[in-house]
Amino acid sequence: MLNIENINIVAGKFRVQNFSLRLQEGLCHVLVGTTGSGKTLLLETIAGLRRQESGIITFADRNISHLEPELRNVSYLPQDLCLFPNMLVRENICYGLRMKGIGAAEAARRLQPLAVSLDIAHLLDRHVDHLSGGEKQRTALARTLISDNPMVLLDAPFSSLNLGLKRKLWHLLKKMQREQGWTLLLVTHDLEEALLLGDDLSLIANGMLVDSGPKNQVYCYPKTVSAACILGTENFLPGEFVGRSDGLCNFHCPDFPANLSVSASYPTLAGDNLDKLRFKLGIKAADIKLCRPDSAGAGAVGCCSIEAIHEKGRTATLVLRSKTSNLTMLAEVSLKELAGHVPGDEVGISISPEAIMALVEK
Amino acid sequence: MTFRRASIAVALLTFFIYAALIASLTTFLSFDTVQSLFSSPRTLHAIKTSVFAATLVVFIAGLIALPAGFALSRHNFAGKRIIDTMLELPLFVSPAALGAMILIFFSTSAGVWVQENLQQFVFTIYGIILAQLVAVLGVAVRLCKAAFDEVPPRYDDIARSLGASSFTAFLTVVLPNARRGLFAAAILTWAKAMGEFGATITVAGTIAMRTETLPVSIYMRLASADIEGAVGAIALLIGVSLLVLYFSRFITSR
Repeated sequence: MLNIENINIVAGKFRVQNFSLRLQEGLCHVLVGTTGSGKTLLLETIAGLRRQESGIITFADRNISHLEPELRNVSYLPQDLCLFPNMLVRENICYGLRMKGIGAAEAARRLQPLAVSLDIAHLLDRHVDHLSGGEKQRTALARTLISDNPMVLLDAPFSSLNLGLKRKLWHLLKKMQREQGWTLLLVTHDLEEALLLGDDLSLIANGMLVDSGPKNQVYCYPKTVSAACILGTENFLPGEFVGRSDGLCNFHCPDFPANLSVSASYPTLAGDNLDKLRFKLGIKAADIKLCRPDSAGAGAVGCCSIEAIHEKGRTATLVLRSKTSNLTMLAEVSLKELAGHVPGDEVGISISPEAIMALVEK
Repeated sequence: MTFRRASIAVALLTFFIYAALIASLTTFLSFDTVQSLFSSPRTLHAIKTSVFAATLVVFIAGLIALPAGFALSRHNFAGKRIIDTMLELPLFVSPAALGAMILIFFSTSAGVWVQENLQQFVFTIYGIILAQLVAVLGVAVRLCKAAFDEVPPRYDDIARSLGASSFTAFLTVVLPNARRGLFAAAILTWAKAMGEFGATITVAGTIAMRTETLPVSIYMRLASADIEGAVGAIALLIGVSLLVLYFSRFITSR
């Protein structure tokens, strides 16, 4: 188990402050955050390439805070890959094994299946300067994984790969991680990747932990605007709690033409004194459904006009403007659901109470 | 005229300034002069002394400049800026002044002790090596630092995260990736040592067949009005140096 306790890291004017995180042994923990939120800084500190100002990092009950990087038994794949230009692909991949004193025969035995899985077996005798971006990324991934260290840190390992290859490698990495029992800490911006690979999910913004826990809990029930932003929520409405009824919590939204209801089982709505908290209601664009503007009794919660339509394949993103205020919202609908609407048309929108997030503003 | 053409013209002008100077040597250079130069034991001794001293200086300077250049490239430490400034001492203090400073050191009690108990430097070939080393060391460290600066420090970091100690990372990743710059540094250091005159003559003097390097030989021949001999020695110095520089550039460009 990797345990990060209250660490503070300083890099110029940027700080990671009082950051604590606990990674379960043998699980994949995904760290998602905005650009410049301190994810790479954190990985470098765990790998020993940076020193924290304070705090403790323990791995398998051993304090590794002040150990040199080569003594930590942590594999690290940096975002910039850092393949060594003076070596062939084969030499790059086996560098870590060589440093551990593992012989050429054993290195070759480990290299071959890994290179085949990552589809780089035909590149082993090439110089790294002659590889494409994706090939370099797979080579760096192989170099990180071949060492078979119990702790693996991957910083955006699939960012240069095409979607098809990326999906194939996600499954390969997941399989290897489970078979080898690695404790994996993965940094990514890709939510699909995070949800597929991760067991646990942590969100980070401005050097601070925003939320952490089992992936479904963190992804489905963000508690703050910051967490919902990181998870790609597009629409936020200020809301005042007005009361409970039939398993729902009702909110008055000054910018929205109607009150909105949120499922009372949402984690931030447990307990009393909700009227003393400041809420914002988060709604994902994909959770807004179009309906007829006059179908008030059939689930429509408001009426908007379509300001713009941006088609993208089988779906379209709509910019909707409220009839009663300047509020604009984004909605993502299928072309079938769009049903020939054009900018300027008036539409009704419906949002399921289960799809609305009650986010606490601090 | 475009800026491109103008800049190329200036580059050509630089070449022609030196080419004209070299071409002017032919006025006094004849086949007989070259033949007598190569059959002269004194000239051959000067060539041997120059090549031996400059080559040895490159090795000694390398042993110091490699770790020093690496430290200046990679680490921050107290006094780094002062050290960095001091490396330029040989550039802003004239070589003769450097030589005089060495002589003055050997007249202090510490210097006298060194000369009496360790090694006699003044007026010996060791004096040539010391004078050349002092004259080139700062530049050698600066060139090595520049070569290491070309290798991103991330390589050292990643090598260490893969299990290499800092010294192993230096040997297996940093050094091989800096090799071109380091080779160029060695060649330039060698060329500067070959042409060193001021400090050498001040420390080692002008003893024929003992402390006579090629630049010293040129000076001695000029002083005795042996113009043809001086021209021959100049041509020899230019020939040896250009040949080595040309082949080193050829090797590094491959």
